Amino acid sequence: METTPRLNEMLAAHHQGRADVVNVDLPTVKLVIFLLEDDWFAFYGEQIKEILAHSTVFFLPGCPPSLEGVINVRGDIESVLNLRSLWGYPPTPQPKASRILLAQGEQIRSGIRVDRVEEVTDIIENSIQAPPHAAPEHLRPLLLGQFSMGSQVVSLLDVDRLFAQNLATPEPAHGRV
Amino acid sequence: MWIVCLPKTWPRLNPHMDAYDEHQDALLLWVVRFQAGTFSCAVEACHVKALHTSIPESQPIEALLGLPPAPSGACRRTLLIGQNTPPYALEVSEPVILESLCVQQLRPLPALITRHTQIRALQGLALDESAAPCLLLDLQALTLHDATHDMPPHLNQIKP
Repeated sequence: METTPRLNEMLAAHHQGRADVVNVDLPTVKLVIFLLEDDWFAFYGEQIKEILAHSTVFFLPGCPPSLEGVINVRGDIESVLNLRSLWGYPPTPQPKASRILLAQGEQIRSGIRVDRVEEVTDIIENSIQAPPHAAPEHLRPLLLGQFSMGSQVVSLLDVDRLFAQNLATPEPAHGRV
Repeated sequence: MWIVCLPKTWPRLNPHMDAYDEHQDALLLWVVRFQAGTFSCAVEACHVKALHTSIPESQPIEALLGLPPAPSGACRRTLLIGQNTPPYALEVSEPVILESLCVQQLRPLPALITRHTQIRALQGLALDESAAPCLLLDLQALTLHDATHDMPPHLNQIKP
């Protein structure tokens, strides 16, 4: 007569089964995924130092609309770059879910206003594909790649390129004092 | 009209003169603070020669900063600024106060702001605990922009 396997045997069998699985640790990268309207974007997590929810932005006169103003982050004054305005999204009242990403580039640091932060997550590096040729023109210089997250396509952007692009923008011809 | 002639050596205005500490004073920046629209602004006090009641011919600070003109009923004052004669007359809104900022309050402009601001006289910011940062303005940049600005004749005779 066949006996019922004892609990110890069952657990041992289960353990053996797990041991047979090959451990393949693929390299991952941490990303901060955010939205502007229905468009999904990401920055490398190492370039985002903080996600600020309720910072008061102080408007400064003489700045373009893409520069919202400055914030006081524990005594440090940081600018706030508004991506909606910078990339020509229609102006809307600021959503409640809006956040400021405090981004650190190689040389400069600035806040970046986004509509919503979706997730901070680890993504397998290999899942990031090369940027598509059909990317919008304003994004092309900033794009590091694209990856899928569920049904969404997320564009991975480079903070340094974003800042460099903004620093390189020509000054207005008719400046005030 | 009333005139306040301001001394050249601002540290002497320190109310704690008895305990005057040169080292401590080196860490202070004396400024004349005023309003421009909704913004609190300040200029280095050592460049301000005098404070007048409002003089119609003086240059409104709002025009220099690209802000809407001050409302007609606003309390206005004129700062006479610059080391050379004739001094430059700058019209500002009250309150106009002389105060010291400690070095820990001063902050340079963030790089993106420096790159894009159209106000070249904007030199830095001073932190205020409970309010928006104060705009620190460079008087040289303020005055140089308008080389044709003529002082009213009676102001030219004012000696600091």
